[in-house]
Amino acid sequence: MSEAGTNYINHEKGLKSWLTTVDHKRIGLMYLWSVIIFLLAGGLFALMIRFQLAKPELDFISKQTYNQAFTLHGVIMVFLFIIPSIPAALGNFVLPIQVGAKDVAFPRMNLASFYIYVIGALLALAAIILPYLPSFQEAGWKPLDAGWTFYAPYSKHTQGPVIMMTTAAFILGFSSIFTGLNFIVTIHKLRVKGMTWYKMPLLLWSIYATSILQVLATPVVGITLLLLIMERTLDIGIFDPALGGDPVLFQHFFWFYSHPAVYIMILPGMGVISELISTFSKKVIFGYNAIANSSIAIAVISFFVWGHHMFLSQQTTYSSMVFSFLTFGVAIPSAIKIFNWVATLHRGSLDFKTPMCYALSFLFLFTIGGLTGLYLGTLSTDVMLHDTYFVVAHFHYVMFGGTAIAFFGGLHYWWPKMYGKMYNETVGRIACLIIFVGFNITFFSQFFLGSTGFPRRYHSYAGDSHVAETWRSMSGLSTIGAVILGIGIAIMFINLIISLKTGKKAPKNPWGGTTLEWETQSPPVHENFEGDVPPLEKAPYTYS
Amino acid sequence: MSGHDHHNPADHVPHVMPLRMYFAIAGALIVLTVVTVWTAKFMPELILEHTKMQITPTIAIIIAMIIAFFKAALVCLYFMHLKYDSPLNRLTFVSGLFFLSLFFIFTLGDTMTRKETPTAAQTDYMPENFKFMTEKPPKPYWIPAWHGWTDMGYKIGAEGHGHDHSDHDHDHGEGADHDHAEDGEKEKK
Amino acid sequence: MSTHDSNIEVDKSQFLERNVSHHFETADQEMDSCKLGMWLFLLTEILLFGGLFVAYVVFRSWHPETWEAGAEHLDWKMGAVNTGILITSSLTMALAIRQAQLNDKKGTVLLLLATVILAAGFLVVKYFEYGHKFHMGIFPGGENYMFAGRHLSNEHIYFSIYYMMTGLHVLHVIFGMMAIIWVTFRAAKGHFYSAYYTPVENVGLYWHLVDLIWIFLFPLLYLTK
Repeated sequence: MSEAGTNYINHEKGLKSWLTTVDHKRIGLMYLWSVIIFLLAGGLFALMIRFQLAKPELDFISKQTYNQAFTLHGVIMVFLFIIPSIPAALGNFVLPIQVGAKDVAFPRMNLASFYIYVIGALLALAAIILPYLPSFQEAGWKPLDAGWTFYAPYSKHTQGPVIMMTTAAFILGFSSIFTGLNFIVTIHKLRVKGMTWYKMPLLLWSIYATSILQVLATPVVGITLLLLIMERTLDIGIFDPALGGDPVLFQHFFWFYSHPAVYIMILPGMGVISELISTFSKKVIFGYNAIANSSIAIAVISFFVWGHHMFLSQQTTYSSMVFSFLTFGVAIPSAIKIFNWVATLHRGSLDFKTPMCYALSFLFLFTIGGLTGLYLGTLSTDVMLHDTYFVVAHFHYVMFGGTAIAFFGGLHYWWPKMYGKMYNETVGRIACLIIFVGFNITFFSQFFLGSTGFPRRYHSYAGDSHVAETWRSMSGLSTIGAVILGIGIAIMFINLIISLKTGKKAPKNPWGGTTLEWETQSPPVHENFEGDVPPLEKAPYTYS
Repeated sequence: MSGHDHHNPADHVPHVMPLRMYFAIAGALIVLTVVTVWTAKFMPELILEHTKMQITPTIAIIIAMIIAFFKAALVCLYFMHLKYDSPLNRLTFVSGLFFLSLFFIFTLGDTMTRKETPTAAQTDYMPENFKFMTEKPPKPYWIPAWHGWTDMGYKIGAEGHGHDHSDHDHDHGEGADHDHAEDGEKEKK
Repeated sequence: MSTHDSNIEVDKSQFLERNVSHHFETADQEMDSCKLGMWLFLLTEILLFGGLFVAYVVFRSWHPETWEAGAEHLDWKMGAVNTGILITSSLTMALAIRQAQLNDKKGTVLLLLATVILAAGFLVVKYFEYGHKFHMGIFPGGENYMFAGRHLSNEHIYFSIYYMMTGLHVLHVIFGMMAIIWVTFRAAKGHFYSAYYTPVENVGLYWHLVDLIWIFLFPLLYLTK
């Protein structure tokens, strides 16, 4: 029997106990704080970009620094924040408890995964900082400016820490693979008795689909980066046209991973939303089977469509047509989910707590993101919109308005479980509103920029072209929105951190959720449950 | 806190395959290797003699790949125990092949329908070492062969291609790497 | 959580009895999970090498005659010997697992050592192969490709792909050898017996994958007429 007040946090004290822990909950928290730090770092680079583009022909930062800013904003946000955010931070914490297990299948591999992430992150940081040191500058190093996509042959010839950064990404890939591997085995083998596949909470379905993608797709970016490193050091000539190589082949290699990667980013978010919408509508999720199956469908179809990033790359027209056609297919399962979530809301008993506010934001923002993706998947319109701010707006709506908002929602949802403290609801909801407003101002304006031809990755723009008025106003608006967004995010985090000190003690089940994690105390005991977990009888999301 | 101190010794009962089977599979693998080498190296001449049909390298490699798949199946099913394992492990392995095939199909769908294939082109940043390839070739010369290599049976230098290359003359666009008159077996895809 | 005495008789003088990890319920669940985990890892290796195979096919389809010309510089006999070595090492590895299943500590250790020695043999043959090429001036990479005889203008790509594929494979052979040596030490200490031989099995799976990759590399690189 547990003594009153013991939980996984005070189970063992001291830095060493945290650094050598194999407890999935502690590892999840370590991931959580790491990804939050990188979110803020990536956000700083974003603000640099926006301030540079606030007005035409500004020179807020030099061209070199601007190139670095968008490269690093991309690298940090993609590899260090979004991909690990929900699976590694929230998933690590919640998944084993939801499954009814004591830990993940391979707890030591879980810890190794975290340390691999840290090593990769440190190497990435080195790649960011080293070019500023005098000895490296003398050697001719510029800061990284190849874009997070590292297209050959520019990434081959540019002087800078490309190899360092690609090695960092390679290492981070291992972290991703091991986490995915761990989750797949846990879900297959460690489910509590009675929890059949179609009785699992939907978060598990989406994390399962994500993990499949992580295991299948990440090695391909591994070999891509390895080939790029070899190209730079040994001149192997596979991607360099001067040596008879093919730069488009690099893009095929790169996007074979990176398109499934974007589904690695969004699928866990969708899982979180399923949990939030059901709990805060006090209603069984509408179309459980459809949502579960569509998660797997998204995972599978995502491998068929990568060429839609390459419509203008000189790949053959036949290829482009095929990819465009298939891209419409991948939109269908996502749309199915939106229909099901909205149907869940209908006649539900809606409770507008902070997590629900984020969930509703998600529905709105992800829908816009998804719909605008259709313009980009259509070959003929993409010809105009490729490499414009329309693309930027689209992916920020789905990645930020989708995944990150879902991450914030999940954070607020499971915060009482993780720390046993309730945060201030009012401040939480206000932060959500500010984020929502700031987000839309920032990124909706960018659709107009894109459709009038404002290119991506350009340091500055003329103030006297025939579209200058639109560009001036929309770009300026976007910057203002970015500041508002930043303020909202800051308020959100401050609110959460303050709750650690002054928050009310959280009950076992503050939201009335029905999944297994709400049946154990907040914060959970070290072994997740006190005593054995009884076999599961009811289907998930039954509220009566 | 569950204070029970459970002592749960491992009690798995292994599935042991008979010894003969291991040797049989290994033997089959060796035999199939020999067959692979034979089909690639010696069979084409035989077939040409008897049927006047030319096994091109493309066909030869496809045959070799089919044999290789059989060898792989033997290794997977028996040495790696997939035949006696849970179906989930089989599914895991096969799914990898499925998604890899997507990579092949769609990438080749692009690369094999291109009108111009990439070849080394004269550009600003062409390495010094390569500039000679766009000039007329100098008189061919042989690297000094250490006698030991040839004693061991290695072929040194370009003695394998005792014929004219026009490829050194033009390296851009199509026209580079054209057929050489090599026993009429050149078959441009 | 059930606690029970094992129905397996363990010879404590030779072997170290092992308990199932606390987050698993039964030994079978643990072993199945570990095996599934290993297969998932093998899946990633397949995708990793798969990328290189795609590059091979792409460039071969563009320059088939370059492939044929380049392959002339490879000695298929050495490749065949290497294939034989790896197949035999797969056999010894599989037999080592079998002996562990049968509580034969000595047999396990000897067969694992045999596998390592065969793997080392593979590396020796590769050393000669690479050495022969370096002697001829065929180094990896465009800048370094200094083959002095006549060669087709894209031959450096053929050799780049050759070096990348065989090089990555050699790296995996080395990792495999390290893993097998580690497992041999553990086997000698008596960690593995009929009810618990998962690490040997998993290392075996890895080694068989290394063999599998070579089974495909050999005809693709060496057997082009």
